[in-house]
Amino acid sequence: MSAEVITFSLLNGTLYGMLLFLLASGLTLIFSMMGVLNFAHASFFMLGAYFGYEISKIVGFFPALILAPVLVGLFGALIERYGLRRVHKFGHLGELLFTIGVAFVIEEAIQMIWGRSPMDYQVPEALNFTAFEIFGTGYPAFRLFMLIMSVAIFAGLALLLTRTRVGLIVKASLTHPEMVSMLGHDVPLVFMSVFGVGSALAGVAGVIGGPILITQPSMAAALGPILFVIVVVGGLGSLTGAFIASLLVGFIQTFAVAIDLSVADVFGLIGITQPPAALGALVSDIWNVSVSQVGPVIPYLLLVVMLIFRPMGLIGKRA
Amino acid sequence: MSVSTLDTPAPGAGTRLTAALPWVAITATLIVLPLLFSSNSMISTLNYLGTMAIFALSYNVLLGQTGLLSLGHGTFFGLGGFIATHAILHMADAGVSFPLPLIPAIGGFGALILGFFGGWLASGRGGMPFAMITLGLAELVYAAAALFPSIYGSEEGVSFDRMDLGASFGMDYGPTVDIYVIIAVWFLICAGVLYYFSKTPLGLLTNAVRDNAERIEFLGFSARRVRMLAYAIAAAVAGVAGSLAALNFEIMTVNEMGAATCMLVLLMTYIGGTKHFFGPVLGAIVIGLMKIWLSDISPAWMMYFGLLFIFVVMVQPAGLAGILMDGIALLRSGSVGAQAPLLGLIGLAGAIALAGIVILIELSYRAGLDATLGPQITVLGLPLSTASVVSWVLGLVCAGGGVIAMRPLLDRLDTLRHSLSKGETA
Repeated sequence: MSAEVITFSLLNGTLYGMLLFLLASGLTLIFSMMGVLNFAHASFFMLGAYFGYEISKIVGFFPALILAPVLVGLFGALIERYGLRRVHKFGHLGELLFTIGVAFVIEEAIQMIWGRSPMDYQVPEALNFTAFEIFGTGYPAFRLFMLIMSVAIFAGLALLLTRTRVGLIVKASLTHPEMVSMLGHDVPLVFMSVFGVGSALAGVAGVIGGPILITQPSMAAALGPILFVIVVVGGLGSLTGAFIASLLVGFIQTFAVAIDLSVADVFGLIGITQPPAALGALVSDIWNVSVSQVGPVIPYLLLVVMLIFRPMGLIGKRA
Repeated sequence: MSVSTLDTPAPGAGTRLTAALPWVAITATLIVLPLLFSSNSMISTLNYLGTMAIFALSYNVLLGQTGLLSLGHGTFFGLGGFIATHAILHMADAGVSFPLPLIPAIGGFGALILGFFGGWLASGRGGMPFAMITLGLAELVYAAAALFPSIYGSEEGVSFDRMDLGASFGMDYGPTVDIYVIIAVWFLICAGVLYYFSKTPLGLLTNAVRDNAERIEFLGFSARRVRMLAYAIAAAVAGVAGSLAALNFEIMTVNEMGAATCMLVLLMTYIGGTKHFFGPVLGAIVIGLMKIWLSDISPAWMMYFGLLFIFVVMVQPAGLAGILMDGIALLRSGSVGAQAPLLGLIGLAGAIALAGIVILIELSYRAGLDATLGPQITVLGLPLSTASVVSWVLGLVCAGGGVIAMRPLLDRLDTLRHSLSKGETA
């Protein structure tokens, strides 16, 4: 593998990983708050992409970058206030099932409004140029913009949570809701806001991810399971763990695509070019498997291996 | 027929007879159904409903009985189907004669072994981690299946001819009715075994693990082992259902074990009702029929499906079976007469709200996805148009009015029931 491929894969892996973290951070915050993984989180991401597409057609990309996440955030807050809070009495199972239902209905509603085919959501003109050149190949400015946005939001979120009074109240509400409520803070409002902000973060990821990943009704279903892998591998409820796991999965997926190697090549090195015919069709299947084909499987494999050897996740506190 | 019955006194001759009654009724229904609906398409609908009913029953071992939410149960449906498919293909190749009706036993056994392995991985914890792990396992199997085209086929799947194994039991398995017989018998076997299982000590332990896993650990049982066994048993029955689906359609594709199947079984079981043994069967029948008939008349059937699910989750966690049981309890209580006017009004408000929602959804689909078909549309016999404001307002008024009228009516019903029960005790 050349230095060029490694550099580009590192860049793209970081980018994809940071985008995943934008989603995973909201999911983790909501999980530590309610003890429920929000199944509809990837659907909020998809809503962000569609809202971003629709709003940027009218007022341009940069206003859409603000407006679409706000809309998604409001929608998320409404879902929490009038849906999740009501099913809370049926326990975590009821809450999880409710978010599954919401994800199902959002996917249908998006097909109802925008149809089943992909949207023509393009990189905005203002960012459609080459940022810099390495090894004679240009790196698009929009990707750099995505990277900067993700890092900025990550930094902002970290500062908000660790350095401000608001962050203090949120963190305290997660661990000691009764005490915080005794001190005169409106804990249900805090919960609703955290849910809204988490959804808005997913919305931001949707707006900036929409032009790169294709904006289509199946994008939530494609990304959702990967998000859960990240949250579980990182350790349920841990932001740092989610950060590490996001980058890990980002790198795995970009490098797997970049590596042009198959099982046949490995055997080719020791002089065997044909699979032994006697071993049957299954072996010849394995023979033709390439690294890029295994790419989509690796995150799930990582999940299973993790659960066997370290069930609490990378930075989890409890098993 | 509650799953969580703990008080099972020694059955006398009389109670044994009443306990057998539902089974006699089910057997009679299974015999009568193909005589009533003898057309080929109706029989294949029945076949589909039968496989789905078995599948949903197996899922309820996890969801209702053990309180485990599996997001990857479709995997075992698919794997069982593929095991059965390859068993048939290999035996037909080798010229072995094997009765076709016993093929699901092979699929079920294979799924049982895989279920033990999957259960070992997934059952360390219940609740949220369990759901995530089963989701991960299902995605892993689904993604890995693409790497092995010789087992799982490529896009078009693996097909076979069910008549290749030859005739047995006086049937040659060409006509759909023969498959109906196989599915009906397997339905009785699976339902019987699962019902019996829910009454065994292990079955009661699964309920205990659902209610308080920690306490079970203190009593010296391993909650993990109980979960694992429940998982394996559910997997085995799902494998039987998958094999029957393979026999019915003579083809297995990778999509059969994808996320859509996993989600379908969850929706069917939960909508049907997880708290009653035959709730999942009810769910499978209602959702199966919705899938077949509603998809013909409306493009929005998936939307109705999702909204029904949210409704059940928010309002009636006992599912359709719960509503049915409430109705029966109401009839027995002898106070129907006093409640009837109010119940009628509530039903009316509900029907109006439902009509409004249907109008809005159908109009939205016509305005969005199906815009090419023109603005004119007939909903519930009413000629409407996406271009006219009246149509939209009608939908909004019906939906909003029905929902708003519902609340005071429900409050009044509560007050009435309260005063009725007071009157009884006085």
